[in-house]
Amino acid sequence: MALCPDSRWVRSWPPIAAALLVLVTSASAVDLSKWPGREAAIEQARKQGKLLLTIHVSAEFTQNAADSREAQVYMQAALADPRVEALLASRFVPTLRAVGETKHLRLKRTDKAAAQDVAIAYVCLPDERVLHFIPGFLSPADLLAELTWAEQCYAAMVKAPAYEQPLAMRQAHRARIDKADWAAFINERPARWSDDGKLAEGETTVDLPEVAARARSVFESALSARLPAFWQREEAAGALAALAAHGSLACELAHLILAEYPLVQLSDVAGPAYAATCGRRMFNSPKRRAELAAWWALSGKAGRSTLLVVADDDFYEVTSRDAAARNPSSGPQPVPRSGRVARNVATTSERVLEWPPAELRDLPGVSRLAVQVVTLDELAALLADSGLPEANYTRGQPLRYLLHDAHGFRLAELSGDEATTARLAEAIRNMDPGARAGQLLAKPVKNGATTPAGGKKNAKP
Amino acid sequence: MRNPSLNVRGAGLLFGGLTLMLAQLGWAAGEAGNAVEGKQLFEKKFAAAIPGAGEVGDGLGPLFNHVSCAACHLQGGLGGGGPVDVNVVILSAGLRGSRPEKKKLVEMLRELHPSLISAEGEISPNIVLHRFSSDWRYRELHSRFIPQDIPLTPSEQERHSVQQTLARAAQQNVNVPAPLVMVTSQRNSTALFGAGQIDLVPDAMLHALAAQQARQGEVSGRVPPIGLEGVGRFGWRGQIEHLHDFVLGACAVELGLQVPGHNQPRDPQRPNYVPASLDLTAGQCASLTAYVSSLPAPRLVLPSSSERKQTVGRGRELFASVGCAACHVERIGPVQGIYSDLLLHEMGEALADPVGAEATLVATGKRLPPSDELVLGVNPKEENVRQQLTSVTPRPPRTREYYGNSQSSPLVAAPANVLIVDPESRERVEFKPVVSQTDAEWRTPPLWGVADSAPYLHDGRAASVVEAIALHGGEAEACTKRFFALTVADRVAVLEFLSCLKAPQ
Repeated sequence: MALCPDSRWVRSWPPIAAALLVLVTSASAVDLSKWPGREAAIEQARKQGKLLLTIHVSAEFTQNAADSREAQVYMQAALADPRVEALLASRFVPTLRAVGETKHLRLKRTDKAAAQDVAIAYVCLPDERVLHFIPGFLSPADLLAELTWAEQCYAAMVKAPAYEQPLAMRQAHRARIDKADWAAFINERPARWSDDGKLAEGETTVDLPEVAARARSVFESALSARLPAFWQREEAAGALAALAAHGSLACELAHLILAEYPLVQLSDVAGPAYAATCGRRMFNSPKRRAELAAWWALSGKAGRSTLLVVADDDFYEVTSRDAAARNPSSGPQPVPRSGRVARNVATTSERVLEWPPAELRDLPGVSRLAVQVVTLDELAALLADSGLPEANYTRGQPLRYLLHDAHGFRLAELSGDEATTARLAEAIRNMDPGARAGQLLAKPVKNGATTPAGGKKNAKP
Repeated sequence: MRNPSLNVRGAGLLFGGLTLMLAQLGWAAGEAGNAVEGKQLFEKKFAAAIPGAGEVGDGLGPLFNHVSCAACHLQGGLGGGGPVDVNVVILSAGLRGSRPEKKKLVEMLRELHPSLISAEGEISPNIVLHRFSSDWRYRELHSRFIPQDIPLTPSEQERHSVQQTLARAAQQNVNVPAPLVMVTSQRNSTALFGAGQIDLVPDAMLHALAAQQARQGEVSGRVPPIGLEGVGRFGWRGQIEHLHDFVLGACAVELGLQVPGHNQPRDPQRPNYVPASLDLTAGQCASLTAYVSSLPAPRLVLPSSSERKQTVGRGRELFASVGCAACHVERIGPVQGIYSDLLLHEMGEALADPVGAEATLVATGKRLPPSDELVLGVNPKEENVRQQLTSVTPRPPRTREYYGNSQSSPLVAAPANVLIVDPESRERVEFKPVVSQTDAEWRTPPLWGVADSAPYLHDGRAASVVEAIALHGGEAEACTKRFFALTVADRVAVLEFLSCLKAPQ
């Protein structure tokens, strides 16, 4: 066959090649287990000059994300499409992370109807500054459209000098926000940016959770207005969460947040964005995870009892303050945080509950314990990694102290009102084997209990 | 009384199946030449005559929504649905408070928009608010109701913005003097793929489906009535019986072409203007219909990987088990994969608008002695509509407009009982139109090709399938709630299945 320029073969080869490409690519499924971890992905993106696509799924964060059901659902919904695969292979370095809560920490709540499985894809520069994020288990077409938009914005942004790039991204996000939504968004609190493109309050991200919550509120109002009246209040919350969980509807949420915080660091925005998308706290594998597991094992070997002091948690502190504002009689408890005096916002009475305690004599015996102040992430990871019984964490009555003996037997679990110095001192006193035997014969106590929490067999450290 | 449509029901089932099979085997080959011409007409950009500018044009306008059929039927290929920016806007006049004297009312309406009053001086409460006119003076009239124009070729962002605005306020209130009220509602262009097959679905099959639903009780579809015996198959309200009428109606209403049996809309600037000739001949119209009829049906495209096939299969099962398939039935007789029962279903108040479905005529049981006259539209107040019997199978007058009827409008007289002569006994039998909820009834849209036909619902207020599901109320309410009670994985499976229903290539 002569390959002259007007030959039918030559004219038809691009579609044939495209079809072959589709056949080849469609035969190979996305293998999530081969995606690099966070650090490797960052390195790869930097070397190859690609964008980073970090996907967070609401799977148990202590487990491998690629094995999770949520990751599989995301793959089926959004990734298993030759066009997406081709785009990811050529332009992005994808990485996957589980950020959902663990079953080892029982989070008592009333928002079961509203919460849904969720996934969020972050399009980032190799230094993890976020260009765009795409919430939801969305269709390949929607994901493609959003990734393409992010790439176009990036291409336009890099033409601007570095100091103008955040403004360029802000304008790109602003352009995609409905006017009525924007008006509602800035109604209660002015935008961080002035009309001439300057940051009014500097580059702090301290208000990011509040901005994200406000974006969620605007997004919910817009969605609620569209839902027919037959959705009753509670059902509507579930429907709204489901709509958010399915993608493109929730993109405006991202635009609202990123119009205020363009090119924000992923570590700053991920938590608030996750909470705004599904109303729950994002869990994150802590840096000290291995260190804590080793500490636990060492304490066991040394025959030392342990005290875990659970630090205040931003997510629950903010939400419990909100609850207190709504219902002052059930205000949050003062919370220990290293070197800090907490204030009971409901009664405005101050109670000193610092950690470590100012006067060790308040807590006789504490020096015999191996003590760690842990974040909620660290606590959850430690419970999972060390096979400890589940612990309860209730919004408004947060868990403060966990006391275990050297064999991993849980001696006390103090939360909320019970988490006083006196109760802790009493629990430490009761660690004495004789006292403990007496307690074991007594009926179990819920808070400050001497029985294993969760009814599970205790693990030996 | 013998109902002619019931008499032919059994035969219709057989006949319909045979004709459809023949059509699929190339029965339409005899019209192939016409279909080629029809495709050219479908794609043709018509030009408007511009008075005083020497532009003769070729029939477009004077009022029109776009310049070609293809301009609004393009998604997923030629003949597909339209994006939200080419929606048709319908203006509906209503009344709040006491009704003015008729002459004054007519004057008020004429002042608002001359087309609200017909050539005969009757009130037409629902009119299409055309996007364009060949007469520049129309802009002023148009801007009274739509202050901001949609760009002719909107960017994706502008299109998204239009859709979002519609999603939040599907019906816009227009500021008009009391006691009149005026709202605009919209219609999204439907995909025409497989329309030839739908045209051949026998009446009897739809009656059978409705009867089956009545027995099962989960949903209660109503056969879209066309008079006493006809069955609607096309349009969001099931208001058009056959494809040819659907196509010609669009030529007239959307493009302003004068075609046989369908007049172009009246020019508000020249209300007495009557076109001297047809803009399309009967032959051209037949060609256009032949082309639309020849458009292939959409298809189910399964993914290549076995894992995704399993997901699609599960989604299909869930689609049935949550109850979607009660209305979105996979097959009507030989029409496979349509995912619609083509029946009218009450979908809840949130989706209602003033351009309603046709009321079904129900026999009251009252019979009058034989007469040579057929009395139609007997209204206690206005006994002025009488028509001589000219047909052996008489039909009541067709008061519907192209997009649906205005029976529920307070501006028109309440629908009257009709007397229809039984062709055998010559007795006059009284029928009563049942008009309840016709504003909230919608013909189940076929889901074939749904992956390529966003946005969704009659006006495109739902940007995605999942949002469209959330907006299903009325008879579909329980099913909607069941869908949202599924896990995310199961919902993804259902959506995955629907994403396989693609436009034909």
